[in-house]
Amino acid sequence: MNFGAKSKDLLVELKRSDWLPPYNEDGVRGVLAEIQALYDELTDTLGGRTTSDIPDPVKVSLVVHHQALLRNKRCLLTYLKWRADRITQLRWETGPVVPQELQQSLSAREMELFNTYDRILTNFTQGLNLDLTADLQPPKELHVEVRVLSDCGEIMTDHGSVKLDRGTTHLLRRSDVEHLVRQGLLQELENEST
Amino acid sequence: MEDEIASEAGPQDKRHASGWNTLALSVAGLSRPFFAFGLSRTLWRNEVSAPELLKVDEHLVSDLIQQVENQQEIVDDARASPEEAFSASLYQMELDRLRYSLSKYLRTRLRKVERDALHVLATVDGEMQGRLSDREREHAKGYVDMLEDHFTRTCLSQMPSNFRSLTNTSQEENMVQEPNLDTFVVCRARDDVGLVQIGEAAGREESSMDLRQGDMFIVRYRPIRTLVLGGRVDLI
Repeated sequence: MNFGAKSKDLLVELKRSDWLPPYNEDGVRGVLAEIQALYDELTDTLGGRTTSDIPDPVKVSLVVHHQALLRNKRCLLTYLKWRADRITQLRWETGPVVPQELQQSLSAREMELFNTYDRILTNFTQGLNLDLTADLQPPKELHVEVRVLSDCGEIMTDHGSVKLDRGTTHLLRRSDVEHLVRQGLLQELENEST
Repeated sequence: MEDEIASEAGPQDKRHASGWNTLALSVAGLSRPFFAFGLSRTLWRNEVSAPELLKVDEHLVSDLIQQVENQQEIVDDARASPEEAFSASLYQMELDRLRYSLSKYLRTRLRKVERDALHVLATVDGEMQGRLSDREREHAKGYVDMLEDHFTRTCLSQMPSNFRSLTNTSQEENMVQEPNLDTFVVCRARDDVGLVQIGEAAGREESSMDLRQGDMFIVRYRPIRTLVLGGRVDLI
């Protein structure tokens, strides 16, 4: 038996993916089964004896099994934590809703995780009088020039309403359009402004 | 740092009280947003560079947020009148900068709170916990609960019962991540600190550096930790 190969595969999957690979339910179940098998082997070998009764060669095998078990656990938690970190990061980038195309990569539990994080983050920012998710980049200019990548309808600014049709460019207050840029509906044009 | 902040916050409050808070374009008038910006920049620069969470000054932060709000109202009013519109846009830029540095500061802290949540909540002496604001402490608890719940339901509950713990620190299997205090930081002294012992851990002869006001050094964080916490040294 090749200990830890399954859990390694899970981590390699993460590494090869741009954002997150689809949640690997089978892989996780496989690792859990391996952990259980290792544990059974351990308890069988131990057979209720105390360590002093066990001959040294058996002790070695116990250590190997125990370490393999711990390693599997660690890899599995790393897999979940890495995913959880990406998911919570997503809340900062795209706001309180998971974009449609990313939803299929998440398990039902991970969607729950996202919603829970959304709730505790909202809890944190409430009453703070400061929108932490805005101003992710240091401001350079008061206005930015943006190109509309897909129709956003009309937005209200201080100087009246602006209709954002696809393909048009506008010079607007950064604070008015920042959230749209982050959602990828607008593109910021650099160094082309007046 | 508290002393420094207290002494800096003093005159600010006075100006506030003397009705300074109107949008008159004078040289003295302009200094205020710059001033607040410098203060908040020191705050977040320290926080960004330090490997561990620093102590938060809740009053200062909420005070700054409050002032940003007040100022924003004034600038909004001023933008309507043609003769003040130009200066209003200058103020607006300063306000945006200030708002950025404040939210950057709070965001950085929040990320560190999440990263070190288990470590912070596990420390018993309360010193670490005292560095968090109530809000952050609540967030740390919520975050840990969320992850624990997630891990338990996804995999830990299906493991053998004596392998279910997330916070097992007893043996070599330490599952709690701690900040790395031995990382290198760039620091600048605020005043004459004198001799600081460094490098005793390296097993070599004890070396020390003479830290004078304005001196810059690249050192490990651990030897200057108390100086940073005491506000005598800034991180860059």
